[in-house]
Amino acid sequence: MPNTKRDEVTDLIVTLLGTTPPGGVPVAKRGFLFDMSAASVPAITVFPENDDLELRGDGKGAPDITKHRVAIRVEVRAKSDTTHSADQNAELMLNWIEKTLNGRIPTDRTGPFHIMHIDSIEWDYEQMEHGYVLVKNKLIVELQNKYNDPNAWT
Amino acid sequence: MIDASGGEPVTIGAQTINGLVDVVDEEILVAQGFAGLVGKSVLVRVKTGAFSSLADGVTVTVRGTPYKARSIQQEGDGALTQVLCALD
Repeated sequence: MPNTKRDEVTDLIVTLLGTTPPGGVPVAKRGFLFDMSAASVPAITVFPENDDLELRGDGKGAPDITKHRVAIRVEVRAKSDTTHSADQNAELMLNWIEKTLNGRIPTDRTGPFHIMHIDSIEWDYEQMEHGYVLVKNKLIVELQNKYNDPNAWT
Repeated sequence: MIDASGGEPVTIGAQTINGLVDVVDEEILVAQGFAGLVGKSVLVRVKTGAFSSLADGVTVTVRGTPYKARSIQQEGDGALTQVLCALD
């Protein structure tokens, strides 16, 4: 059975970010870090965070369409070195993420409901032997599928 | 303990005095319930007032490695001061 369009779009984001990233930008991974050691930084991870649903139809019987507003989290982890702070080292990855994803149409479909954009960016810091930062990009993707068939576009 | 076998040399400025050194792995930057990272913290406890030049950003040499002093805090009854040591 095919997965949902939401899943396809999440995979597509990983693929886009992993396609010839500039030097110093790691290949993005779906899900979380399996290797939690400091050696795994810098890292980019991608996973769905939230999906707001809206049902649409003519008001008679079952709806025709499920409209999704999917929030996908693109996380960046970086650490400081002798010349740059952790947040400075994260900026190269943030530049790549914004350039690659903002305004991108996630499928061969066109239209205003199918363009993704970064909605917010948040930084968390931790000072240890090195300085560390976690940057949380909230990426919004709006898409719609047939009611009761999350793998069929409308 | 700090002056006996539990202590080890800590150098700040021109002074070398025994302190207590802890090197601890901690999970940090956990988000959405997902695993975060394991970072290392180097914590040095010295007698309060023992080092005349102890201040944020000064070099603290422990086990042959020069660190920068960050987050200097007195502990408990104030007899000891804890220093978080950072490489950068």
